[in-house]
Amino acid sequence: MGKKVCLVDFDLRAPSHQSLFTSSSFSITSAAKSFTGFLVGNHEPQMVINSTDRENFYCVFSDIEILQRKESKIRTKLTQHGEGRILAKLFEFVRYCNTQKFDFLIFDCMPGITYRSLDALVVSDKVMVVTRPVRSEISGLRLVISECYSKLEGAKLFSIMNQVEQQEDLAHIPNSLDVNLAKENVQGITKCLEESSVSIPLLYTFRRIPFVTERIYVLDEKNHPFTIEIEDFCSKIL
Amino acid sequence: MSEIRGNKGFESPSQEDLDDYLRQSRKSITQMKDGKPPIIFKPKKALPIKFLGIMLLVVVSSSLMLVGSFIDFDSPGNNNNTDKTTTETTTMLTTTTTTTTQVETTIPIDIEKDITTSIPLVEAFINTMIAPNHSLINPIVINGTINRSQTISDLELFDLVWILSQFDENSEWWNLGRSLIFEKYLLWNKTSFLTENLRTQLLALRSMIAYSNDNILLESDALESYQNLTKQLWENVSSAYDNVTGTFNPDNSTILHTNDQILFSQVLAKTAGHPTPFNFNIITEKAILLLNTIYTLTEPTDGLPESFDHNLTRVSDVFYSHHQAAMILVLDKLSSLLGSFSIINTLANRLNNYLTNIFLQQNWSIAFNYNQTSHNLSSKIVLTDQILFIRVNILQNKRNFADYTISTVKSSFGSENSSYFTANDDQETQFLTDHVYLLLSFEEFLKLETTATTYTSTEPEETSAEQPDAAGFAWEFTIILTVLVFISYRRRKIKQ
Repeated sequence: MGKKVCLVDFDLRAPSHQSLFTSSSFSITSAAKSFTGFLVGNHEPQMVINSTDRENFYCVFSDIEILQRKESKIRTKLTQHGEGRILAKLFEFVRYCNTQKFDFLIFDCMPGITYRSLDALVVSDKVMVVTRPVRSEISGLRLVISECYSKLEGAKLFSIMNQVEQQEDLAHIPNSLDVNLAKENVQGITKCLEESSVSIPLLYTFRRIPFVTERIYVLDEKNHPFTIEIEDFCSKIL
Repeated sequence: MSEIRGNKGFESPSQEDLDDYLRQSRKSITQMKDGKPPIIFKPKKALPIKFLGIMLLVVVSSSLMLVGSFIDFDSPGNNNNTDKTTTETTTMLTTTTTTTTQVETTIPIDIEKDITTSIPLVEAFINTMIAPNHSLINPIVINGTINRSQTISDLELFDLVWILSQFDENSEWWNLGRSLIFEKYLLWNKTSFLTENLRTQLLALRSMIAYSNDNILLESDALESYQNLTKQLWENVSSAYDNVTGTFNPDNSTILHTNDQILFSQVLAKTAGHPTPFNFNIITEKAILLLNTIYTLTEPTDGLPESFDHNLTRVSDVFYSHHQAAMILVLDKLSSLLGSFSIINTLANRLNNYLTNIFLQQNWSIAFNYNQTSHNLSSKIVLTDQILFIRVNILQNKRNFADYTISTVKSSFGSENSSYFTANDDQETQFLTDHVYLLLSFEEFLKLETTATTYTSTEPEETSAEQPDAAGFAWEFTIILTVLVFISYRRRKIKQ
């Protein structure tokens, strides 16, 4: 679509983008410093944005190795949560991206309610809630909505449901208990969103497609069912 | 869970802290938008229990001092009365602190009783092992009674050390495991395991790596053994790796059993996070490939998985459900180390689905119908399944399943009348390590329960039936004391 996009791996606990992107046909053209380093004040914002071989697409990686060393001072700083320092750094990064004319800045957060995910929620204009139709997520979603999302002022909330079994897929499942459970879970998520005290419209439902590799299908296989769904999704939200 | 998942420092804030944080964050953002510096704030924290206890202590001590000065002032020489008052007040202070703790505790904990029952068994077992005259053949002392002579193999000792290492860092159990392997028992120094079978080597390595944080391993005398073992095992696994197919072929390697392969994956997964002679990425890649190979063994040939039963028939004697649970634990470890590789998540999810299916659809009633009178092989496997299943569900935060499983396990064991927590002659070492596993699961479950219901980090404290009465007495006594002090102060003023 020609938009300038920056994707930030903000799952500081378990960053995954770096390994995901390097294992695809996609490549990083200029390696940058880690976002974790920026958050603790070691780097400037311009030092952490990776250029890629795709026009207008940039990505930012968090550092996994720092987090693994328990004695690391950086880890200690990151765990001093709730002070607003990381929030300030995040805001600084958002402001820098604004000066660089990015159209979209996407934070991929860690699951659950943590101080870091709250930081991302506060600095964002829009919040995309990604759910899966499994029983544990229904209760989790209800909790997150009541305790967190309902208290966000000004942010627009949307949701998508991922890995949903389609009718034709369910037909191949031999056990009716499984089929019923799958349907109940989808209904559970939908009901949870509908009954929410804040508006969280369900924008899109992605079907469950078994993946066997870590490739980025939208880049590698234009005709793959997942690519088609993603393109459909983008055309609806943009 | 947090320790295993590596999310220490990323805990969820309490509801109150969350509200405060959101409010202050918005304020800070507004300020920054105006070009002002950010606000550095701290979330409001609940008054710590200890602080409350100390505060009460100070209040009562002050009262006591006032009473003492009053008695000394008005009734010189009345030492007996003073002593009596001091004794009563001291008793009360202890009770008051306990009462405060109880007020903060919000979780009804039935399983604490089971933990308490289990601890003496574990302690007896471990104390026997680390006794000065220990040997690998030693009587097991349970509840003060020597039950029978029993052979404890290296394999079982290393397994136990590893389980102990899974408790919270620097906790009593964790320290015990550390001292077993590095200090008291010097397990690493046993030359036997260098020539022992593969499984013992893997268990030894796993136990050592479990204590590699904070440089305990690297600064210990065990470092050389650790490096030799790592190298040796690495050569083993490399020879089993088929470069053409990109998989591990168990038939061509010294790693013959699924159990060993999973164990090796565990070692590799843990090794990935710590200094080794090998490249981080290669090790993790091999671990994933190894797991993938194991998984392929159970995958139906017709593509999508159908049922666990189908797989179990195909590989009936090598792939029990506890292997699947163990694999999920490894996958979770890898996932937290490497980030969410889709292949890891896919494997973990599919395996967990299998596991859930077998418990839900087929063997649920059988699995939890634990017959404590017969400790045969099958019942032990079922027990291990249950414990691992609890851990998997705790780890994956599936509270409903964990809740259900643990309660069913508990009811299967019984509570008051259960012989599970009382040793029988036919119980084996594995049975005792199960106790430690169960203890670990209970502790993890308690943390999960705490997080899920109250979002506080308050450790659950022991409760007792006498406490409410003691608490009532303490409060009444405090109030009476304060009134007395006030009256005496008034009398003094009047006299003056």
